[in-house]
Amino acid sequence: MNAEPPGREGDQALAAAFLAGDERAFRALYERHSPALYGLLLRCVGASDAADALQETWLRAARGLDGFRWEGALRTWLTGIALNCGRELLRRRQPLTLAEEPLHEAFPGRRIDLERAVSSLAEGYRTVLLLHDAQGYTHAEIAGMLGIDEGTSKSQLFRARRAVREALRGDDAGPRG
Amino acid sequence: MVDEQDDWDAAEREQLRALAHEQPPRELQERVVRELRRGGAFGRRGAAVWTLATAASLVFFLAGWSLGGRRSAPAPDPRPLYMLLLYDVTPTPPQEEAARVSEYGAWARRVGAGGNLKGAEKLKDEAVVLGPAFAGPEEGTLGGFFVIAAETREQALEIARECPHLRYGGRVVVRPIDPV
Repeated sequence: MNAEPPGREGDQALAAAFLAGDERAFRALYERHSPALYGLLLRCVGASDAADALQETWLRAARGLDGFRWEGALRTWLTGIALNCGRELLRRRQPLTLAEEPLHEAFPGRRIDLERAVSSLAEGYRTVLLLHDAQGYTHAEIAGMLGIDEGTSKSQLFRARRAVREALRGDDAGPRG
Repeated sequence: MVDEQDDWDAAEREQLRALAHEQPPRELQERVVRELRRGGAFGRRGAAVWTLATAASLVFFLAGWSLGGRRSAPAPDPRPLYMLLLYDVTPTPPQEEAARVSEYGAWARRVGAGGNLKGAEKLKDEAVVLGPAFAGPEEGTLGGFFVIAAETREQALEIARECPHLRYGGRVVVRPIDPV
């Protein structure tokens, strides 16, 4: 699967059309960028909140698009909004209850897989890993989105990768049952 | 775009990318478009016009409320609850475990995105049986459960029939939860 975002020219033309009131242009932007935004939100806030967070992301983006200066990629800007929406939801959440457990942990096999290993990471490590290794953002971009410095992004990525590797190795060494 | 090399193999890199890209529920696009339309984003005046309703929607979201059918903090669900008990009748071949994990997870995410999933857990292998030994539908090892909310018994069964567990020869017992 290609993690590269669509070209800037296409996004700018669609954004301009949307700002002029074109619904189809908005839908095209939505369809271009939502899979990446939703995929990230699923891993960050869980399925029960990801849809709400994605909806709010697009409402805020539509509201702020007129002021977007196109100094970076539209996808990067949208991802920053999505992460903020996700963080706000997480702050309001109660401690994990049965209904809010990450859903992909529902039926793991006896051997841990990459998805479960990534989901078991602390939120910060998981976010940086997904942004960098899964969606191809640089540390500079990640730092801008998360409000951290590049050094922190690099160290969190290092720790995330190490934790995932340990999780994959650990369960392979001792299968249950 | 990436500024440093990772040490994932090709399959792991592909799996990571797949984790971070997923189609949202179809109805979500319509919900977003309806909200924007209500706020006057489309048509002659364009997206620059934001009505009081749209701004209020944003404020309510930040305050933890919801408008237009969106949820925020967990609220009591008035719908009946059902438990889907998944019994393992045949063991899972080791080479299929990873794929099945993904499949179950994807199904659970779809149910969650539809607003029906209320809980899920995998159970440990050990168990203590209290009371008399049972026979009948509990044959097989109880591997886990889902708790779902559904308007009717028929909707609960419709959701349960799509559970991947059935395709692999497992048994799914659907039982309504008694709201005592």
